[in-house]
Amino acid sequence: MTSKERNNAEAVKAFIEDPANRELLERTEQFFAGQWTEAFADRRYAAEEILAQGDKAVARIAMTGTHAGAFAGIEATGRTIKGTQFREFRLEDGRILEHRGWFDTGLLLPQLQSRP
Amino acid sequence: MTAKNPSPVETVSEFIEQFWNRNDLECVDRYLSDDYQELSYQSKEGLKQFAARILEAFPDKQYAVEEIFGQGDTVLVRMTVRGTHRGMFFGNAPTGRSMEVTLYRRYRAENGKIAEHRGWIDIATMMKQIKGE
Repeated sequence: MTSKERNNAEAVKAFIEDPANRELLERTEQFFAGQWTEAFADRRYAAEEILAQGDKAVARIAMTGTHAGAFAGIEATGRTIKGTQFREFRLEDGRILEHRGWFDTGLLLPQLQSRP
Repeated sequence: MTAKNPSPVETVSEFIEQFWNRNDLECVDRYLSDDYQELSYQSKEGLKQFAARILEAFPDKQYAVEEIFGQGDTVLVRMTVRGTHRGMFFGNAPTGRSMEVTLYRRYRAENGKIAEHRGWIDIATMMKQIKGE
């Protein structure tokens, strides 16, 4: 890991941990983007791993929340859920130029669908 | 002089091509270490069974590597899988519809062998596409 990559990883970590960036951290192009904040209450995010490579970095972000509203056609269950988000970043001189996020649903849906 | 070991990124790229695109399920014997940890499909055998199931459901499936990050022995890959739903898929009869879905796979590899894997996929988008919603 070069010092530039180390700096980029630090910048990404700081960005994720800053509460002011919460809304940015929930953006995704997935079809359910508009449902996310109502479907899940008490959302908490924490960076679990950041890989930096050249001008790019990717963060694996763990999420916890409560299934409080309809999600992908599944009505609220009130369950506590765990989720995973990946967010990829492009940086220049330690500044974030752009980022795009993606939420896993493969491990999320079974938590909403399984019988209690 | 000994041949240089492939990098973790090279090992993972080759494995994805052989296993997921060329459907050479037996290549696990060459690419996966003896103490391989499979964190999504339980075991090497579970991985092969899952791959066989996906191949039956989407016989033309192809995985395109969109981005690959390597750091130390860790490799993280973002891929797009495309295919046509022509066989049973977890209780869903074939619809003939096509899917195009993003997934991530995280590997740990060293000395030309993959020692660990975990995967994530947007199954909600996949189900929506094959149901034509």
